[in-house]
Amino acid sequence: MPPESLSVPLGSLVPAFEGCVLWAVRAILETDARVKVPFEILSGVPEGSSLYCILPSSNPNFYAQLVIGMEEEALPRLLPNESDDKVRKDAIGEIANVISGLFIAEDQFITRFGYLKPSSPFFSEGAFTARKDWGLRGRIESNGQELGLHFYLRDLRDPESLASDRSDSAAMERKGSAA
Amino acid sequence: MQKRIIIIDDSIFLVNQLTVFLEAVLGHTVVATGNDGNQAVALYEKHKPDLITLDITMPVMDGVEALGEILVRHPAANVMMISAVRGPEMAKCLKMGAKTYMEKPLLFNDEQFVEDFKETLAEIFDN
Repeated sequence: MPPESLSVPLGSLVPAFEGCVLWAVRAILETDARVKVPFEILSGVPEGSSLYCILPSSNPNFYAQLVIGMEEEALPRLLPNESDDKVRKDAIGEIANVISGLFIAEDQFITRFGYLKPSSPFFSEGAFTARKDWGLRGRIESNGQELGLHFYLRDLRDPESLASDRSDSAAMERKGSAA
Repeated sequence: MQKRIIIIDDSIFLVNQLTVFLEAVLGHTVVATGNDGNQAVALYEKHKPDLITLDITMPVMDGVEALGEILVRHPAANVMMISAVRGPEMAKCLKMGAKTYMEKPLLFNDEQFVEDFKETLAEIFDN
């Protein structure tokens, strides 16, 4: 179960997050989008994608990551009017920018978590080294392609969240050593 | 009347879209583009455009800092902030002297957006 400091407010924000996601994808891809897997509160590392766009944001009390997961080979089909792979990735980065900007500006979000300052999006290929934080997760479909959308949120005041960091770091080190 | 414009954004996708919009739809000339605040300041000095657009969240130097640098040297500069960032940053930029703040996403195919954007530019250039 997610910590109580997160579960109630995150739960109430599911419709707002879904709205931000669909609005941003439709506006930037200039095509329709629909929810494929309903958004819900989950924990764990996102799986099933070969490319992740990650946009962190934070304030002294909370750290968040918006994550968009996709198959890299699907990018040309998602953005059929763009021939440059760098530009296609930039478009995904813009989607992340807009979703994050809209969502963290929601009155409900600010009331509970305060104003989070966003960073620039970056891409992670292959394995995603996210920690086991709780957040909103779902999938949408646009232009026949699926995107996984995740919004992780960590309460920096919660000692359990730091304990999770240490165990994940240790596990990563053991995995690296085994390889 | 045709104006000379610089676009600054770390997204090539957005720069390309905005360039086409400003030139092909609105008839202006994009004299330069850049991807961070340092480039914004340097390009402004080089070209002295009629308008410069600035994203906020950018590497090296962000748009808020670039806005400050440009306005220190050119207090009358026409600066349009274009960003997905909402909240206190918007008010901060306007208080610093940005002429306007446009929220992303920019809806280039929406008639109302196009009209509003034209009106905003007219207000900037008429003042």
